[in-house]
Amino acid sequence: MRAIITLISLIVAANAAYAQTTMAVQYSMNFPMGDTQDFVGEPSFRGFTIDYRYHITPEIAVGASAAWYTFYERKDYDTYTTSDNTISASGIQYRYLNSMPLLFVGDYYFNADQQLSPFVGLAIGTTYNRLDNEMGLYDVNVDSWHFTLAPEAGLRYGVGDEVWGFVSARYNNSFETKELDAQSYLTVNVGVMFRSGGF
Amino acid sequence: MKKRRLRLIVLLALPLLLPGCFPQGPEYTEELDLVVTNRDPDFDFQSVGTYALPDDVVKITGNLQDGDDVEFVNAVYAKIILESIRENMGNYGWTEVDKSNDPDVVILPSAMSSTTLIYYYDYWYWDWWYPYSWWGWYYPYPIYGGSYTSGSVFIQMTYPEGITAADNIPVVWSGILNGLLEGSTAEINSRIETSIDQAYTQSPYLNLGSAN
Repeated sequence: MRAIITLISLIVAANAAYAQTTMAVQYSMNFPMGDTQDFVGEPSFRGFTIDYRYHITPEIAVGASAAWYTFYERKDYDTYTTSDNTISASGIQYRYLNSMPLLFVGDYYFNADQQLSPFVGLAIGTTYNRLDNEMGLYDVNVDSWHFTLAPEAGLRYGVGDEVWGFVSARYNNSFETKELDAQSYLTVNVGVMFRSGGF
Repeated sequence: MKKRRLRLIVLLALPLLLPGCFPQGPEYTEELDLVVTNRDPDFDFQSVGTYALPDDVVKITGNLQDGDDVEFVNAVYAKIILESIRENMGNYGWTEVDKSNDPDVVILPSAMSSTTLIYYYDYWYWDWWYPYSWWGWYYPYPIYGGSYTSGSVFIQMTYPEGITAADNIPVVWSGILNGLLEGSTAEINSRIETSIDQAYTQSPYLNLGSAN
């Protein structure tokens, strides 16, 4: 108990000495992996991520991340047959995955006082995934909220006292649910980070 | 001041990313064409070889149960439907016989075009032609139902010898072709022909020379 109180006191004290927030807006590219790649094999160039961080110290930050990514693939005309070889359907399939991660994030910045600062982090939270498979005039879809773990690493490059350029890679791993298999993809973010205050 | 302007630019740029969330879909009518076939897995298609086919294609109107007469599909479309079925059955080694000559299977083609009609299609559409006395048909599997917002052609292969104690005749194979009714008559006929060919291509077990 004493250790916890000491830790909280240290955080509060550090916070008092170094209270700072950042906001990052990023364009996101996504590369499907695993079961996600089986459904939509094409990379996605439709996405954005917004990140908020509260710096406990210059090196340590906690915060939140929200994003929206859309995957799309047009499958050529093909025939799909049930495993018992009774029902067959032929047509062009249009497959979509819309993914919305909502995550809590903790980051550690190396060389935080330098212009170029690498960082690593871990995000934990939930992701809403909706898979749509359109064939002919019909749409079959399934959606689910997943538990998500997402390690990340990146580089922050100062371009002024309060602005950084920002690139990162995050592996979004959303665990299997009753409705959907595990979904995973690699997100590459390119964006701008601002120090202190909101927009 | 400089930072504020940059934030503003970023904020204004955000909506530009949003249209990317709604990617493209089909661009041409034929990209929406769908062919679904189904069969009775317990039926041995190699044990039969003759079929009968009517000269008309029934138009499903949804009004028959109200006492209206049976309607037929325009001859321009019916011709291509019937000819395509004949050609594919012939290619698979089947022999066409008159309905009075005890065919092994009887093929019933029908079609509908509607944006609102709930599909309801039953044996009484064929009372006028069917060569056997019967009460109805049944599917060994569930496939029909729901609403269609386009044009559909239905092909049902019935097996009269399989008539049940309740006087229902089994439908051992069926094909559904579905798509948008857009374009010229020639274009629609071309798509119908292609789809009927596909229905047979994806049903190789109908080929009397196959081992399936």
